[in-house]
Amino acid sequence: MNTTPRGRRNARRAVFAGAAALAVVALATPALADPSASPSSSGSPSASVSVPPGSKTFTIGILQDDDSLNPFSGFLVTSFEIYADTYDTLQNLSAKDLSPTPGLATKWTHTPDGLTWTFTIRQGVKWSDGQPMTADDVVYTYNRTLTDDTANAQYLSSVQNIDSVEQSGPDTVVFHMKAPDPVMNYSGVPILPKHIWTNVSTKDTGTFENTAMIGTGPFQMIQWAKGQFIKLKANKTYWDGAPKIDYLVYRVFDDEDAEVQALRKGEIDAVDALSPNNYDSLKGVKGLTRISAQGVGFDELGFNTGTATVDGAAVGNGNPAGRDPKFRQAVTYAIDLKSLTDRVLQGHGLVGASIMPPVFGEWAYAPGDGVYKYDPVKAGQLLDAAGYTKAADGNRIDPVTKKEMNLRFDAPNDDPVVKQAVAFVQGYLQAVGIKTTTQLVDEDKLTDLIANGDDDIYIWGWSVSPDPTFQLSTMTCDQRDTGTAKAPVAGWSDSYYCNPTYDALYKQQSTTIDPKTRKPIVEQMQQILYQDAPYIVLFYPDDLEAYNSAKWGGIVQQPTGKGAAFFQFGTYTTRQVDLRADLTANTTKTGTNPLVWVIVAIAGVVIIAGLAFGFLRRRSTADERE
Amino acid sequence: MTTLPIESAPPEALSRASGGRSPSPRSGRWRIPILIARRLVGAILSLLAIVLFNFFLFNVISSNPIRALVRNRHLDAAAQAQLRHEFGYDKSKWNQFLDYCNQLFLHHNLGISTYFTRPVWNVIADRIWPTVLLVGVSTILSSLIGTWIGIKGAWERGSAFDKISNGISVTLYSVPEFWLGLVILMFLAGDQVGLGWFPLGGIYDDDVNPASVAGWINIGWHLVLPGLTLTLGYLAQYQLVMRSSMLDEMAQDYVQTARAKGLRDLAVRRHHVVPNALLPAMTQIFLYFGFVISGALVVETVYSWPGLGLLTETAVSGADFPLLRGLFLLFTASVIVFNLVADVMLGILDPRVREL
Repeated sequence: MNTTPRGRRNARRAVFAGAAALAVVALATPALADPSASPSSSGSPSASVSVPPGSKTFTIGILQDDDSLNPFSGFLVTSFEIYADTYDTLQNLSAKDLSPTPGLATKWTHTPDGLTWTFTIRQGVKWSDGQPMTADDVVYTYNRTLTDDTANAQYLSSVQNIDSVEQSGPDTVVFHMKAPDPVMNYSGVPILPKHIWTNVSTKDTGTFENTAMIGTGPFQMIQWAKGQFIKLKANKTYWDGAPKIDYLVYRVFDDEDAEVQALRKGEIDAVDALSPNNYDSLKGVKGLTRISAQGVGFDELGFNTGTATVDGAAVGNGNPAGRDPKFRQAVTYAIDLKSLTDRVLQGHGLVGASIMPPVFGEWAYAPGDGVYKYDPVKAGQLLDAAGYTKAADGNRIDPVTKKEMNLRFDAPNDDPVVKQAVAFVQGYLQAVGIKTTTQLVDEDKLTDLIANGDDDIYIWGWSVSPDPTFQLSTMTCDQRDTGTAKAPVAGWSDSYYCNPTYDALYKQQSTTIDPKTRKPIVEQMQQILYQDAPYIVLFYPDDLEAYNSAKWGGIVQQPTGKGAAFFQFGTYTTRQVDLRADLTANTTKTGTNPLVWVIVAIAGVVIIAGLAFGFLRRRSTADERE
Repeated sequence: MTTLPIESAPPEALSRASGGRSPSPRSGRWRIPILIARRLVGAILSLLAIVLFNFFLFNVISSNPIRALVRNRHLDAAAQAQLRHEFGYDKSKWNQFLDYCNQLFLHHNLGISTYFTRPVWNVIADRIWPTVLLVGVSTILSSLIGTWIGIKGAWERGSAFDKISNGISVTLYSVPEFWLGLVILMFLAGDQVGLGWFPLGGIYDDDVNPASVAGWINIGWHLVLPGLTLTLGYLAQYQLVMRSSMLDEMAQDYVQTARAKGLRDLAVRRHHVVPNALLPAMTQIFLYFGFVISGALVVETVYSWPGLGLLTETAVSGADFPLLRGLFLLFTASVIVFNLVADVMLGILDPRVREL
């Protein structure tokens, strides 16, 4: 509930981070150096912040604090949210449908072969310290991300196909590509000020604290009270429309019940990522509006389809049934996805199909009617036909080993939704004679089990980014284990799916820039996955949000009408949100409760009375003694 | 928990040792310094043993220290090998330990937190003061109130006060802190079913300067509920120890003598029984002070009070071994230091201890 940072689910926008690189080499060296060497450290409690009366502060409750203000080191969802508030990227994703729109680049074009991209950089934008932002800063940022190992690991999927970058005019930047890459239409690297970062050596890239966060974004960092809140000030000269509020605060709660109470009481204005129970408890509460937004993640029942290294050397001892597509397809008929979604998510989610969730519109895959339907009888028949016959006790027999099957069924232990899903799925499998033994473990352990091939089936989840390349890559042969069969090192693949046809299509789509040409390829890939069933995608959980609508208006959902209002790809709600017209700014901040002064006064009186009483008593005893 | 290696030696051996070292009649004057020196040596030895244990403990439980560093970022084998080398994980365990000691003792460097990518000591320093404030205030309050109730309850053994206070404190001791905290939160901070008088979490509001008078009052206001929860939760351990210690002393002959001399009830209690009964209670209070620093995870969670308890939880779930190692070192050092203080205090207060 509170601190489970490492999950794939929590990586949301952190999946910009991609394949092989020397991730945190820069971390290593300062470990042996003087800790005070890292520039600008911050003490606590932080500096004072004076808030002029009548200013508008919008407070969002979060269940996880930031981990780093440095966009090359942060990992958590909160951190990437703060980067989006304080920095700009070359392009943005629209509030309407997540399509690319101009950011710090006003326009961009590419040659027909997709190997040269020319960006026009917006003029007149200033860094938060007053210096002008120029094309030179853009070139610097991309060069650093290309050459600095730590920076490269963080934004690899945005820069992996860039060969070089150069300035070719006062406001023009040219990228030369190793291969065409559609990600250039939405490049996720935050543009950083050269005059700050040029003073940070590559060995300090990972540990630079970046307390000031000099950026061009709609908000500016003013205070990070660690473990308590992050306070940002609106950039009232923001090029894309200044925020209507004056301050944006993210307040940390370590207990979700307390967070929900704080929303009801008005201490905070909005919450995100509620549990279904807490979301339902807010139904009908006056002054609050709930949003069951389509989420960017999915949960899957995965099969060990044959753990192996990228060289094809088999690893571990997965049950051979997982390698048999007939077995996996039969299981697909055995699970009632509709009923599972309704019961586990209490209706707050969509039935699963494939690895691009419906919130991503054109990239999502809809299998149409009647491909797989819940039909346990058919599942039984398919299993019989494939040789998985039933033993006397009703459990099925593995045709390879001729022994009764008992599949190891693993799942992470930190997610109540997954725990429930495991129980239901185990029931569905048992109903068709497939015996399983469940094991809930922490995510590190689960990664180990999967990398070593000590698993048969599992339930786990992913958060997906808008461009499909990364998610599609997790099912390619190249993402199987690196290292050796004896000492495997986990890749991004957890099903160890490997299909040359799929891989060829993957290469094709990852170099196809035109979305119209790319879309059918992506659809075809997802169709292959759907039919081959290395994953049975169970459901897409909604992102459950609520806000104080008695006080605030201007909330924007992304995509329009169905997506998230908070923690977006961009800053739509945080820039648009404003006090409702019938309220004035003076009513917004309650300040210190007057009761505090009463309590302070009472405490003072009690202490004085106590001292006086003690003194008198002492004297009287002394008198008596004489 | 309470036994240091030096204390576990047979008392005769120790007394012989000290007797041998200071045979002169003036030895009494040296007894306390000798006691302090002896305890100090013991504490330092314990600390060194802890450093050793601490280092190897985390080496045993972390199967793949590289994973915490790369945080799911994909790394090929060569890159992992390089990281292993950069961090010295390819050296022998013993050489790693020597490096660790070198950094710790000669450079006062606990390493870099893999989760926060900041020096471990800076991360800990940010979280110490909330813990010391919350747990410190609660420990002082609960020890004062608990001891007072224990004295009064024992003196009026069997009275309504004794029965009720006993019942209440044992009940508070046995209810889960999480539940107690949540109930207090719902009734005094929440305004759905409660009064909504106090904030629902945090240490201070985002619009006050914590270094100003208004900021202190704001902090005090935030401190009330978590402080109350912890004080109530801690109360029984002090009350029960004091009460039983009092009852033991009240059965002693000298109490009879004091009463026979015709001393007033209050004087017997104050000048004869309480000073003697306080000795075991004092030891216990100081031992508990040693645990102040390790925070109070449950209460910190309920009230979103970012102290060392919550930090430890983050470090565990994030597999941040440099941070965990730093925290454990701090916790054990704090217990050892307060153990030392308790020993010395007892030695000064109780002449019998000096003889041992």
